[in-house]
Amino acid sequence: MTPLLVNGIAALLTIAVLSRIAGDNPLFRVAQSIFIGLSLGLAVVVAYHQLFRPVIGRMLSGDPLLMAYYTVPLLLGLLLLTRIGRGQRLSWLANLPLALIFGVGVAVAIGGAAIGTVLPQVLGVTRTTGGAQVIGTLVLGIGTALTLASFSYTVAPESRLGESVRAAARIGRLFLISAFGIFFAGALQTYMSALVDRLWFVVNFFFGLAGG
Amino acid sequence: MSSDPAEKQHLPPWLRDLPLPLNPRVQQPEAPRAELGPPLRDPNAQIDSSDLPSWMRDLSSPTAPSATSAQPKAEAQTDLPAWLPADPPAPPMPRAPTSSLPPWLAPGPPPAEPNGDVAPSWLPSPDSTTQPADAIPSWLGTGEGAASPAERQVPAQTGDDNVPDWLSASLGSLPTTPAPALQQQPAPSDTIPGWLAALGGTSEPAANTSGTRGTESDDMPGFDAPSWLSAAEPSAAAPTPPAAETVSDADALPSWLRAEPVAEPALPAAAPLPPDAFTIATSPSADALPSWLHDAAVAEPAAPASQPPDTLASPPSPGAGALPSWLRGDAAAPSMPAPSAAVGGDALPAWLRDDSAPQPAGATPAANPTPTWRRDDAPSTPPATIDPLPATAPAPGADALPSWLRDDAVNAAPTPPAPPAADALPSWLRDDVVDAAPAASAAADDLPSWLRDNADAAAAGAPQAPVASPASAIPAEILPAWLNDDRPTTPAASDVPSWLRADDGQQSAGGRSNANLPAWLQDAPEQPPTSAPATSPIAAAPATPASPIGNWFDTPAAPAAPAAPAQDDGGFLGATELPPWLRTEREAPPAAPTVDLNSVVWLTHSEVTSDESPAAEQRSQPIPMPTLPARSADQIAGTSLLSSLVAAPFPQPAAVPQPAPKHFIQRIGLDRLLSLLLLIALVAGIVVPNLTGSFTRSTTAVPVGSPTVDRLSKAIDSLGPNDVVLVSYDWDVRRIAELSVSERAVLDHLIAQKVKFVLMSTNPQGALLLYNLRDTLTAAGYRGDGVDYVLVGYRPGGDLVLRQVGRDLPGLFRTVDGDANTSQVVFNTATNMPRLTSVRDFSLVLVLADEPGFVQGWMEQVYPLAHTADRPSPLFAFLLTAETAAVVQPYASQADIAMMSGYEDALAYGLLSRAGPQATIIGDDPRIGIYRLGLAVLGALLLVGLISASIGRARRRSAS
Repeated sequence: MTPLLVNGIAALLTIAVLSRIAGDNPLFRVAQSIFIGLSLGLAVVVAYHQLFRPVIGRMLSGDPLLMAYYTVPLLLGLLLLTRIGRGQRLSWLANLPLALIFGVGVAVAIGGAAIGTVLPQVLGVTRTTGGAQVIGTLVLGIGTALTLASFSYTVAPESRLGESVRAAARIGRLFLISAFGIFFAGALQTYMSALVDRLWFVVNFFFGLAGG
Repeated sequence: MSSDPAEKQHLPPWLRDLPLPLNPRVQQPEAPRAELGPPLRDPNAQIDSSDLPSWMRDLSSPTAPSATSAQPKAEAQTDLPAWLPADPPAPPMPRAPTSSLPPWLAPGPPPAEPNGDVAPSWLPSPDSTTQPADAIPSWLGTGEGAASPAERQVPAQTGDDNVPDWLSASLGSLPTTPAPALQQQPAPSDTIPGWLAALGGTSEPAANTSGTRGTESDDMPGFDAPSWLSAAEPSAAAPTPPAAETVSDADALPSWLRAEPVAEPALPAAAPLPPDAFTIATSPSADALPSWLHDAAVAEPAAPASQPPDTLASPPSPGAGALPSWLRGDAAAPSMPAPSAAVGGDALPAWLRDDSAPQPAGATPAANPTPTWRRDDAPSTPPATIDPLPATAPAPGADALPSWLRDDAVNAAPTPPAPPAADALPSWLRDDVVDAAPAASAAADDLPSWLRDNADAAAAGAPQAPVASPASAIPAEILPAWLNDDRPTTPAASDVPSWLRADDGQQSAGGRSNANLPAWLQDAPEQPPTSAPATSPIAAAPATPASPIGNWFDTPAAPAAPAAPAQDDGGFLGATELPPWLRTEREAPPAAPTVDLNSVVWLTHSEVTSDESPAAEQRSQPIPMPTLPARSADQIAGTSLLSSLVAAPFPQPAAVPQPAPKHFIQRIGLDRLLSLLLLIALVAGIVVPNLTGSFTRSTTAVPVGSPTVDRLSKAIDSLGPNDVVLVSYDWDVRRIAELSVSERAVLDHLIAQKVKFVLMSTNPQGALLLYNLRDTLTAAGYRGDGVDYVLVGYRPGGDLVLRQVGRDLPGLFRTVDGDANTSQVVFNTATNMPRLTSVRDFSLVLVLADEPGFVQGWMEQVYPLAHTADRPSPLFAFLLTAETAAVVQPYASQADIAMMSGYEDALAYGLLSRAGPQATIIGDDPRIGIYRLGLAVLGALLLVGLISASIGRARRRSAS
C-alpha cells in the first residue's frame, strides 16, 4: 500500500509537470510549488541534522576548546540574524560574517581557478602526443583566439586592426555556435533521459494498477 | 578827453584803456544853446583835441564855431542834400544854417534848456567850436567847405579803436542836432553815403528826407566808415545824379550797395507809390542787393508819414526783417503816431536820449523788444517838449522822407518818458539814467567823474520833468532807420515763415485777420495789445504790435510792467544780426502761454507725422519675402508628407481583414504538436516493447563510449576491501534518471569489490540521495558507524569544504558525530595508524555531479593537492550528466581523470566491467531502448519542424 501510494503521488506529480506541454495550468503550478517546498524542507532538515544539532551538541559537551572553536562561527552566524526585522539598524553587523565568507570564498576560488583550471588548460594545449592531437591543439588554440575575438568590443571597427578583429570574430562565432550546439545536445540527452525515466515510471505504475 | 586814471576807476575795464571824453563842463565850448541838443550842448565844454581820440578830436574841433549854425538858410541851401530842398518850407531858423543843416535841423525848435551836461562829455556837442570840420563824417558834410558849424555838429564818429562796437555804430551814425533850416537845403549827394545819396537823389523833389549826414566833409580823417563807405564818398560828392555816381564807383561798394542807387529811382516821397511799382523799379538791381536791403527798399514807400497813427501802427516794414539788426530797428519799428520831432529821442542812442531828456521818476519802461536801456530811451522824449512844431502839423519833410524814415517818424509816438532800465545799461551809463530819477543821486558815486558831472547836472534838472527840448532831442524819424535801433523790431517777411508772411497784408489792413491764421491762432484768445501800466504812456499808444504776426510774436512786448526786468540787449548776442522774430523770441520773457495748447495739437501732430513719416513709410514698405532655397524632390516629398500628416495625423481606420480560419495544426501549435508526437512515441515505446527491441539489441556488443570508461572499470576492478573510496554526492534528484544508471553501475561494481566508503555531499539534496545509498549499502551487508563506511553527510561551504578536504581531511572527519577519526574506516586498528590523513590516501575519489561547478571545485581545490609528482594520486572519477560532461570536457584531458555520463557510458561501463548480472541488467533495461527511440523521434520531429517552418516562411513571403 505504501509503495502504491508513494508511487501514485509520484506518478500524479509527474503527470502534472508534463501537463505543461499543453500550456500553463494549475496542475503544473501545484506540482511546481510542491517540488520547491519539498526541496526547501529537505534543506532545512538536512541543515538541522547535519549542522546545528552536531555543533550545538559539541558546544554543550563542556569542552572549552570545542566551545571556543565553535563560538566564533556561532557569533558570526548570529550576526547574520541582524538582517531580520524592519529596523535594519543593526544590519550592518551582518556585513562582518558576509565579508568574511565572500572574502575567503573569492580568495579560495581565485587560487583554485589559477591552479586547477587556467594552468591545466594551458598545459593541456601545449601537451601534444601525436599528429591528431597537434591538429586538435591547433584547432583548440585558434578556436579559443577566434572565440575571444568575438567578444572584443573596444577596437575601432574602422581601423585595420578592427577589421581583422571583426573577421576573426565571425569565425569565432562559428566556434561558439558549435559549442552551444554541443552543450544543447548534452542537455537534450539529459532531459531525454529524465523524460524516458519518468514515462517509464508512470506507464509501469498505471500498468501495475491495471493489473499488469 | 580825459586820460586821468583816477577818473577811469568807475569805468568798465574795457573803457579804462580808452581815452575818456573831456568833461563837458570844461571841454565843451560855447555854443548856441538853441542849436544844440541836450546831449550836445554844454557851454562849459572845452574839448581838448589832444586828449580826444581822433574821432572825438574831430568833433571837438573848434573849427566849427557855433555861429555857423546861425548862417542863413539860403547860404546852405546848395549844400543840402538834394532831398532837403524839397522839404516843405519850415519855419525859418535864423540861427541855423539851413543851407547845411539836414531837415531835422532846419526847423530848429526854439532854444531849449541846454541839457548838454546830461550827455557824455566825450560826446561833442554840436555847437562845439572846437570840433574840426573833418570830425564830421564825410557823408554828413555838405561839401568842401560847405559844412556849416551846425552841420559839423554831427555826432562824433566812432573810432573803432576807442569806442566799443555797439557804441561806434551809434556814434558813427549820430546826426547833428536837427536844424529845421536845413530842410530847405538839400544835402550834397557827394557827402553822404552812396545809399543815402541815392535815397536823397530819388527824393529830390520832395527834399528834406534824410540828409542827416550830409554835413560831413570828405577829408575827415577820423571818419571810420567802412572802406566801402569811404570809397563811395567821392562819387557821392558829384552833383550828378547820385545813382550814376554810385554806379561809377560801384567797385568800392559792396554789391548790395552798388545796386542801391540804381534801385532807388526818383520817387516823390509825397506820393508814395504802390509797393509793386517800386518793386518794379528796383527790380533791375534787386539781385545785387542783399535780401534785407532789397526788402527794405521795397518796403520804404509803404506808408506815408501822414498816415494816421492807427494805420501806421499796424503795417510792418516788410523789409525790416531782412535788414541787419542795426538797420532793422528803424525799418521795423512800429509806427507811432507822433510828430516827427517827437522821435528825436529814438534817433539817438538810448543812453544819449536819457541824458538829453531826463525822465520823470514815474515813467515806466516801454514794452519793446529792444534792450530796455535803449528801448526805454525811445519814448523818453515827450513830444510836447521835443517837437517845436505843433503836434498836429506834419513833420517837416515827412513826405520827403523815405518811407523807412517816415516810419521812424511815425513811430516816434508821443511816448512818455520811461525810466531807463538800469540793469541793461552799462554802469557808467546806468548812472546817467538813474540820475534822471529823483532818487538817482545815490548812485552818483558810481559814476566816473566826468559822468558824475552830468549826473549832477541831471539831478539839478531832474525836477524839470520832461525837459527834453526840441533842440535836445534828435528826431528819430530824421535819422536813418539804422540808427533807430530803439524801435521795436518787426519780423521780416523773409524771416517769417511763409504761412505767417501771407498774413502781412491782412495785418496791415488793421487788426488781425484770422482768416489765414492757423486754427490754433484763430481760436487763441485775442491778446490785448501789450499794455503797460496806466502810468506808461506807451500803454496809451493805439497800437504797439511790433509785427503783424500773431501775439506770440509780440510776447516780448508783454512785460511792460514797470517792475519787469529790463532785457539785456547788450549781451553777447546783443550785437548779432539775428532775425527780428528770433531776437524777439530770445528777448521774450517767459510769458504765460496765451495759446490754448489744445489748439496746437494739429501742429504737434503735424510735427509728429512729419517726423514719423519716414519711419512710417519704411514700415509701410512691403518686406521682401526671403527667397526660399531650392528644394530637392525628396525634400518636397518629405514636406508634403509632413503636411499631410499634420492635416490628417490619424489615417482612416482600414477594415481589418477577417483572419483566415486557422488550420488544426495552427490552432494547436507546431511546437506543441511535436511535443505530443514525441510523448506519444515514447509512451508507445514503453507500452509496446517490441517497438524498442531493435534499440536494445546492442547490449552484448561493446559500447562505443568514452575512452575513460574502460580506465574506470579497470581501476575499480583493482580495489579490494581495504581500499577506501571517497564518494561525493553533488547532484540532486532532478538528474536521477540519468545519473541513477551510472550510479548503479559504478556503485554496484564498488560494492562488489567490498571497498570502504566515506560518503559526503556538498549539495543538500545530495545528502538525501546519500541516505538512499545508505540503504543500498545496508542491503549489501555494509555496516555503519565507521565500520565499513563513514557518512560525513552534507558539508556546506562549497569550495571551502573542498579545500578543507584537500588540506585538512582529519578536520573534516572531526565534524562527524563521534569523531570519525577514530572509526575503523579512518583509523586502521590493525596497524594502529590513521588510514586516511589526506586525499591521496583514498583509493578512488568518485564524484557524482550534475553541474559543472561541482566538477570545477573538485578539480581546483582537491585535485591539485592530490596530484603530486612524488606520489601517485588517486583516480578522480566523475559520473556526470551529459549536459555537464560537455562543459567539463577540458578537465577530462588531465591525468587520473575518468568521466562517465549518460545512458550510453553507463551501458558501456556495464559491458566492460563484466560485472556479471549487473551488466546484463543494464543491457536489458528497456529504458535504454526507449531512450534511443526517444532520441530518434526527437530528431525526426526537429526535421519536421524545420521543414514546416521553412514552408510557412515561404508562404508568408509569397503572400507578402
